[in-house]
Amino acid sequence: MLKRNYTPKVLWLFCFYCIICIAIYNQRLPQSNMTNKVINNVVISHKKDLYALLDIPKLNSKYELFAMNDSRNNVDNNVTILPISKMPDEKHSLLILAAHSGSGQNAYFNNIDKLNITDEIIIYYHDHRYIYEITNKSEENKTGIIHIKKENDKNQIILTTCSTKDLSKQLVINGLLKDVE
Amino acid sequence: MKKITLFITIILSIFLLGNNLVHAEGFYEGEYINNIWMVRKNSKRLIYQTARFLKRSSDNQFAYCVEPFTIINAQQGYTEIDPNTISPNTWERVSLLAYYGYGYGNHTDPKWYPITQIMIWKAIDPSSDFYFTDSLNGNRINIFQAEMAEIESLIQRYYTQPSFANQEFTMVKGHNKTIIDNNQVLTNYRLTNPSPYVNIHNNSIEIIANDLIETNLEFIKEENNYSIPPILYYHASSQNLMTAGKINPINTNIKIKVIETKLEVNKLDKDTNQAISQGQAHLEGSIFGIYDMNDQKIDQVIIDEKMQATFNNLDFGKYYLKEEKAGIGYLLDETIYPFEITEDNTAIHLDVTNEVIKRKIEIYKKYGNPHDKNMLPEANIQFAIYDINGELVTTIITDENGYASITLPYGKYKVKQINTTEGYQKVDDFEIDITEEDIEPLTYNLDNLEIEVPNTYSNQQTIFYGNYLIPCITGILYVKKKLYT
Repeated sequence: MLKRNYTPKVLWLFCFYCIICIAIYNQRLPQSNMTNKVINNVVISHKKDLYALLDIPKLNSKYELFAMNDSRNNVDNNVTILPISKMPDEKHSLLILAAHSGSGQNAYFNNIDKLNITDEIIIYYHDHRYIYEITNKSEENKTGIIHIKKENDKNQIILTTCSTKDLSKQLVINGLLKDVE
Repeated sequence: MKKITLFITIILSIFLLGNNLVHAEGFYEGEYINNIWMVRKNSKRLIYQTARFLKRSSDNQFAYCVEPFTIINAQQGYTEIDPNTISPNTWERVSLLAYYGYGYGNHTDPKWYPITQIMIWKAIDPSSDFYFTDSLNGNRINIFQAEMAEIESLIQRYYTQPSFANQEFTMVKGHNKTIIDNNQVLTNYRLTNPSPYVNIHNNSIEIIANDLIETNLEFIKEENNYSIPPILYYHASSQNLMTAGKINPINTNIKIKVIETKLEVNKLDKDTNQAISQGQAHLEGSIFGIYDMNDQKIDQVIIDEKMQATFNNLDFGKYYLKEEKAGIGYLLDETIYPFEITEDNTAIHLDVTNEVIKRKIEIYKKYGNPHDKNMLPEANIQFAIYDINGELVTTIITDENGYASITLPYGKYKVKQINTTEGYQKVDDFEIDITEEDIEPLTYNLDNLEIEVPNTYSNQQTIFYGNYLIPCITGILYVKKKLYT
């Protein structure tokens, strides 16, 4: 009988433990830290210290980007800007973004394989909208290195992640800047 | 028989000549002209008189004495004779004096009669003295000098021809020419054969050169105060007389020659010196303005597909040609091309050049990790360059520095990488559009970058199950077992 009295407490502890686990799993930040910003008549909901924002309209996805020297600019937590990148406001820019795919809440690029040529990728940066158009989509062997053809005098964006179909491949999506608003 | 034939011939001759020349006429001394006295004087005789008209009996036409020292003592029996009894020059002179003297224009005052008479006497007998006096046999006076000068002026004007008389004028077809008579006597002339292409306006002629012709324009001056020529009357026993009459017309002419002129412009490419356009540029379509030396635009010519332009029948003169619009893909030629069209230089050939718009293309081909400061140059990489029609223009190959260059004329081109280093992709085909001249080359940095990427595979779900859920379930099962056993 005595042992039966302990059952509800154990169940409550179990539930609490599960909630903690789910919170860790989701890694969600509190909503009170969000604000709105208007860039070229587009209202963007973002964290207060927004550095840049990746918008993929086709996937209805927006991802905050952090400065290359920001500790949050790491692939385990966010979409990351690779150090070789030149930001969109620089001449002949080359913005290379990498993010996880696979399982988990940080698998931000899980669906970018659904993007096709001519789809748009938008970067909000320094009060401008940089609109890119996808020109190439390819996979190469996953070796820790991707090969990029730098387009002359062009402003490029690269999205890369693991292939969701073949874990030995790396997906590389190339886009060219078409418009700046 | 011979004598009879000769007699008949003489009689017939006299009869025929008589019909032509012998025309008996009578004259009489008419009214006096008051207050004008004249003197005729030579070494033998002195005749003084009050000025008085001589008139022909048949029609009262005034007449002049042409034998100053012969007395008129017959009223009848005058016959017309050929004026060749007087030297031609003298007869022409006295005819003109009689024409422009009394009765001409406003010379209606009777004073003009003795003035004319005195001038005729002086012409007939220059060695004698003829003058006016202040009374009958009075003192010599120099009067009527202005009137005499006026008559002389009229005679001089009679002889004066237009300043362009007997000249030849060459005209260009389609143009008008105005010729001005600097002697200002053209108003007295008319064209013998009127033409719609020749108009006389006061002292100038306007000629319209519509057709290629070579013609003489004849002008004539006729005086119409009298309908018949002056007549010389002879009398064997009385002074000879003359009447004023129509004077000989004056003819003059000019020669008109209408020709064609031609300006031919040949367009050449400045680099090749050939009439062939480079690349996708077009020498044709270039527009040139034709300007006179006052910078007034006369017309324009457009270069055709044969790289030529022709302008016909530009009038004589100095001009210059200036390009106003270059053909597509060519730089405007700022050169001034002067030329002159003359009678001796009616066909002008001008070679004009245009420099094609061109630009140097430079390709730097590299590969490797951009973190390494020395990316490797990609040598021996061949690029094919195609024109807008897909025709191969040329190929270029990178050197040991991964560098290749070429200068291309105006146009759109597609560049295709032909080969690549093993393990690297070729660059996508790219287009080159050369529309503007620039000394700065178009540089293409074609880099094959090797970029290190982090591991982008996420297995957080597995971690979740492994690290949290499985231990949790295991724990629950353990606690349950402990509590219920």
